[in-house]
Amino acid sequence: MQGNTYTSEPISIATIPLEEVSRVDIEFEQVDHSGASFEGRVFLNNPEADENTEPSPENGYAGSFFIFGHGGCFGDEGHCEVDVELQQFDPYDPRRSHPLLPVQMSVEATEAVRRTASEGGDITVTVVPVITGLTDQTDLENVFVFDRHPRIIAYETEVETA
Amino acid sequence: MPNGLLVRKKVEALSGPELATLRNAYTRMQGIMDNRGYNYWAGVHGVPQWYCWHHSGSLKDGRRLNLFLPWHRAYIKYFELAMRQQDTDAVLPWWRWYGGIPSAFSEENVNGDSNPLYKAHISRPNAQPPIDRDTRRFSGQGVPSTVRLPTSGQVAALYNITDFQQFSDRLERIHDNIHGWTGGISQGVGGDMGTVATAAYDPIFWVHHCMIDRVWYLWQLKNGINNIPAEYMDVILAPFRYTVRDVLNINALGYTYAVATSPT
Repeated sequence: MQGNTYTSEPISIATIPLEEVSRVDIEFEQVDHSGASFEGRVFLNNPEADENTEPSPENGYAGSFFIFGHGGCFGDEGHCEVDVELQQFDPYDPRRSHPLLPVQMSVEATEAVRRTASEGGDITVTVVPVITGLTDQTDLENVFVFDRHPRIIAYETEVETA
Repeated sequence: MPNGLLVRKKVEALSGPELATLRNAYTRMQGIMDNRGYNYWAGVHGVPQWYCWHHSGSLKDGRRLNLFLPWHRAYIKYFELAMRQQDTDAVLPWWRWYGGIPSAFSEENVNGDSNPLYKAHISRPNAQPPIDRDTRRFSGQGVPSTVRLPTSGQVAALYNITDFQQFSDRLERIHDNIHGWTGGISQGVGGDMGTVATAAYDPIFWVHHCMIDRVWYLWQLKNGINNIPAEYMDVILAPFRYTVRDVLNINALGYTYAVATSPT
């Protein structure tokens, strides 16, 4: 069972020295986890990917992340609305923030990014959310929801040689 | 009970009387609707109390933390205490994931009676919409082939991670996968383990999290009991009366883990 597929705008990686970095992550910020549980399968330069696409290097598969979703809202009106103002810093408020504040997810995709980059041009990131859990309250039209474009982040391990 | 500590064992290692004791405690809890009962404790995790921590969450003072492991350690400790209120000999066992669901938790009936380890009744009349049904489990059905139980090698690899945050994230990914596989999906209906809302109502939730807790304990033995960011230490694991510091040493919480013990 598949949710809504997301494909990013082309992302330039021209400024990333891929030969010199030790790890490359693809990060998704502000990921909603109020609904279905799902495996987010990440493909590079393959906007046609779906749940039946073999997760293989040939298909641009980069890895996946899991969301253990709340399953939908079981409260009264407004229960699952994350009011940003209520999350603001208050040193006198010992409570945790709203449990549905969005989360950050990342996929380590070093080889996949290097492989795709070697083909030249920009990279698109496609996320295929394959549903792993749901309830009667789950919105199946909006399974993968996040607020920003994915970021490709490279890390360098500095090794000094004599 | 070495040094007064409870010994949490593998489910398959429970003797006949120990398994009967566990079933008795579950049965009695499932028959109670007040704050000693099964519905109350299951409801702390998802519907209706939603106290659980998964992935990274925030405190209102601005700190962003991942309390997945310490929060669930406190949670199953409180559940075990409630269980022992109903049967003083009951101890929570752990589910060794690699062999599938243990028969003790997969048999629908035992000696002609409904097996309290197979299903429970969810009664949440004030939820919107109200919930009033037995738990559902469609293990391995309707989920992609990548969603499966881990191998022992995958879990063993976690012990080589030295950073707590990395270890916690990797273990949580395995945890998420097991929830998906165990709940499953049948004809568009999700099993209860598959989402935060109802996971803790499935009787297998508790032994699943006992295994999560055991893996963390084994990691701590190798990488240090206090191997956790200092800023976590004094955070209170609401609604429980523990801080993170309080739950780092399981012996201080009154239990230990063993694969099995000789008959007593």
